[in-house]
Amino acid sequence: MDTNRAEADAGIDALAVRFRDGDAESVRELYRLTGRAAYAVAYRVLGNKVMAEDAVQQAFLSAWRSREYLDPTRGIRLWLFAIVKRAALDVHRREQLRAHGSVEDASAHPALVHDPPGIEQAWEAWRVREAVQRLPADERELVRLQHFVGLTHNEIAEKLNVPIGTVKSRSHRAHHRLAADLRALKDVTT
Amino acid sequence: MTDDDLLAEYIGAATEEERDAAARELADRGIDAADFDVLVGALRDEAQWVEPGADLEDRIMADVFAEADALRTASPVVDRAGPSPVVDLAGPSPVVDLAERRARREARTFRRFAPKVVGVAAAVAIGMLLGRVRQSERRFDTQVALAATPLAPEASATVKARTEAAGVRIELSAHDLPDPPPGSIYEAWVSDGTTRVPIGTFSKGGDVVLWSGVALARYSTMTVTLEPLDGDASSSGKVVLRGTLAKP
Repeated sequence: MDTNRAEADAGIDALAVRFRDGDAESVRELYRLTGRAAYAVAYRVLGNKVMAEDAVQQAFLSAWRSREYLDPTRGIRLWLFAIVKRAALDVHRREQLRAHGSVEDASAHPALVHDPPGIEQAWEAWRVREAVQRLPADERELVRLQHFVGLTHNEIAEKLNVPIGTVKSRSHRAHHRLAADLRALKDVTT
Repeated sequence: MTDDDLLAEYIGAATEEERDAAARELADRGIDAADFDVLVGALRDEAQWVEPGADLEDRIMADVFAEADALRTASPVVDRAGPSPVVDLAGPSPVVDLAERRARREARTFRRFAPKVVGVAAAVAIGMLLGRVRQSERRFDTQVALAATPLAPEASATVKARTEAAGVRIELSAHDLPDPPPGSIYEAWVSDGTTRVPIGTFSKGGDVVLWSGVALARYSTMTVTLEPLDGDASSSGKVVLRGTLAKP
């Protein structure tokens, strides 16, 4: 485990204790640490920004209301992830119901009795988003341009107006950090 | 070169040739690069790059503080009632003129009749409330008693459900249901014998309101299970309450 991640994990463990003990400000800190990962999960399940925000908002309030059941020694990430995922599924079902106009019609619809397609890799989405968020901003942007936008190193150099050598070295650093995080994730998920 | 160096080359390869070369070197070290493809694929997913609205944090905190305020100010209704306007009208005055006499006379009249008016209004309000309660009781289209299982032998519950515009409102009153162990919650389900559909979660016995996106009429049983908060959406199978759905 790299130093940054170890420090982050130690920090979130202490935060979990404050959260469990009812420190309302800990919710803000928890959101800043995990909010984007939570949003990534909700967006992956729902595919809609407004609904994903709705699910994350519901999930954090639900977690706050259930804080006495949090066991900080077991980690707050997985606990919160489960709540976010359930909130996203609840929003999914609610929207399906709304789309079908009536409960009777909706009850026969497969989307209401089967999980939405994005649910399978939801935990991976959470951890990859956390790994991405740990990158410095310039490296994160490079990774976004390469993997999501699909630009080559030359195109990235041109877009960012930096030498190709800078792109390559930045890319190496960014992917080295990601490799360490993703290796840890792969070890956890297999 | 470390394993992470090689993996970084694999993940960040600018060309297929570079990726294949890195995969071969990883294979020589007993690492199957394909194991990481799902994670690398996630980097191409829009979910990794969308940003929540800037106000989401404030909305969440507003919810949290509103809940904390609600708990702090929760008190019997009588404490929230303001002073009677009758008392305010009866204040003494050193100067008595005609206008004030008239005001005092009106105040006395008000004091005399106000309790009766308030009483009549209260009776009407209570009557309307009772009427609504009775009406709402009638509108429940599903009622069921849930019985204990060996996992929670003392527990029982009653369930009333009715269809509303937002979905099916399910009022579950659980008695003697122990708190779930840390790291777990209760989840309610309906089933038609082949398909089991979750209808909501809760973390304490007593009265809870759940909302279902599916009509209950086509399902034959309702169960409550104990679920670990492990990210797995499927049922644990640990049924603590069970009942047969039947229309009243």
